[in-house]
Amino acid sequence: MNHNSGKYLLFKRNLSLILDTMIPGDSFMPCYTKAVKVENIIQRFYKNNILSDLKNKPINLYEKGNLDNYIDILGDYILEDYFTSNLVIKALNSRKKSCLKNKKKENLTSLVKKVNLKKKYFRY
Amino acid sequence: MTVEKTDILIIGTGASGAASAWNLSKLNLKITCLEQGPFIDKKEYSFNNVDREIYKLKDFNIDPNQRGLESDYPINADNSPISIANYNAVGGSTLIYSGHYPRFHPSDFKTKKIDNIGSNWLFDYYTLEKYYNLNDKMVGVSGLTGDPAYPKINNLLPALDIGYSGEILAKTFNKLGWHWWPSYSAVKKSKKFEKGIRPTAVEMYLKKAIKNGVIIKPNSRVLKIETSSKNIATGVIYEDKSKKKKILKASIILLAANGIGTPRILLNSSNKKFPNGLANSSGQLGKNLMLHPLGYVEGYFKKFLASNEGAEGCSLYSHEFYETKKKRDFKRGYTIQLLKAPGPIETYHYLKKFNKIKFGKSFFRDFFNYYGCTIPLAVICEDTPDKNNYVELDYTHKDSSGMPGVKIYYKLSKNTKKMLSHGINQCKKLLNKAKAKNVLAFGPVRNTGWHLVGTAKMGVSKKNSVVNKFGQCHDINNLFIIDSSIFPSSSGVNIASTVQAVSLMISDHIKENLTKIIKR
Repeated sequence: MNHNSGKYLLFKRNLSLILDTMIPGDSFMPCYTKAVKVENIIQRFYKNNILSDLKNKPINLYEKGNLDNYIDILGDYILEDYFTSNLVIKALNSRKKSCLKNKKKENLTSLVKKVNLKKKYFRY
Repeated sequence: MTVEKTDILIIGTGASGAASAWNLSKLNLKITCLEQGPFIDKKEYSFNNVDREIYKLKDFNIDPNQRGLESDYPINADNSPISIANYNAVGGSTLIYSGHYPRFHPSDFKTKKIDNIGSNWLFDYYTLEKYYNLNDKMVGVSGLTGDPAYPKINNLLPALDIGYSGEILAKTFNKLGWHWWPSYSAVKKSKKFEKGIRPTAVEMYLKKAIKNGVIIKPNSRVLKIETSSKNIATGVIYEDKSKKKKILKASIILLAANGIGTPRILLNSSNKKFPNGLANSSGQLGKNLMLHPLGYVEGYFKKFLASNEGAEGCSLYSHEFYETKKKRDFKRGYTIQLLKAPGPIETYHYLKKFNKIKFGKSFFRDFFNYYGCTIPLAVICEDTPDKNNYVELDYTHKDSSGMPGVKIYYKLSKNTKKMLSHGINQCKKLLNKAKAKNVLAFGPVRNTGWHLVGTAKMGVSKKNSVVNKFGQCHDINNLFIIDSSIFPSSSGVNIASTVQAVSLMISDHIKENLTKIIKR
């Protein structure tokens, strides 16, 4: 695999486009190629014949059925890398903090006080 | 065959084997533990490993048939609605368990006497209490003293945070006037690790045992226990990592291979005197399999509760429906546990299964619509012994050493079905009261056979039981079973705490009666 060859660079460009279309990111979450090194995914799929057309011409994702076809091939395999990347873990944490920003936590002791402590829930 | 010698041999290094290995290591004797699985680096199975979710689907999958590792043996559960979960490695299933550490109730030890169902133990909660306390100290159990569901339990580490989902649930329990309490957990709070630190049997006991001189032999599978003509266990034949068969002679043998693995070894050790399996003159070996049928109820809330965050395992539980009540149409009862919601990878797979997520612009909208927005509950039902629920050797599916696998035959009793249905309905009521937008429920859940109980029953007579109150086989005096196989009843709680307390009690008995046991 020559990293400077035209085929490799075209494969990388096409694959990046597919991955970022599949997982485009939002205000908290990074898009796919920001979180995961595309090279890691290329290593897994470069020799896969099903994706060989990505080495030959720029991909058109607007063509009917094209994206769905790639989703079927890449689907679950790419998600594990995404959700275990440091950037995504950080993003999930900051999203959590933001969502819980105004939530007040109740004290455990005050919650437990309301349990009926006089009643025995076991038999000797 | 190479012949080796040891004084005490322990087969299995999971929760029970590890506890006894440590307890006996204080004696001035040679102690050897044989473990069919490998020694695994802690980093690989830690809760805090970022790849844990992926491992759970692969090499740390709870289902041995799906893992299919060299250390695993096939377990055929085609004739059971519940399949078996376990792990074979140094530390056993504690490498993958949740670390929920409740004790049995006092009533669990005498269900026949007080509820006329199941079987009684030959000792009670209060006999075991000092071993529960010792085990809590060794393990480091977190929780809160003052729980009205138990006799007083002291010296607990600070209780785990119950999280926002726990708060919602606690308030709802309070509204309904139902019991709840922060969970007893073998997970320690940690500033560094949000998920907490969960020790396994390796950290709890084995490291200390090794320091005291105990020898652990990983990748060493016991094929057969050998006996003399005088019904004395003389040692075992085992296969090491290089597939060499060896003989290990021992004066005392302790079996700690769990409720499936223990009967498997004994059944495979049949001989002329014991054609139906070693120590099986009663015919009870492998019978009375109990599994804790589990119901799953999930409440969906249209807001982020961070229910996927925080310490692993169960953060709070309820014993409102644990004890028998006349007005119910079943005897005994169940625990309700608040579980942790799935992580991101599991969430994706779940949504995909129900066609609720698509790649593209809507991916994160679909994902965050569910992720951390659910409250999952488990109903853990007490199971009762039934001779028609059993394990037998499976000669068609063998392990990597050529030893037969296991076949299980299991059905839910009428009593358990009613209990499960009641539990699911009460959880639905609870989640609806908590204002869940949607509630889904099902049970029994298939991949939940974690707690393997009853297959080498304890009893007074050798006519209808395999071991006495100290796990000593009626037929073979120097052969002890120290795992959950000997439990006459299952309780309705996770069993790890009781497994280890019983193991410590039995090994104390062995220490005190050493000469008597060896002489006989």
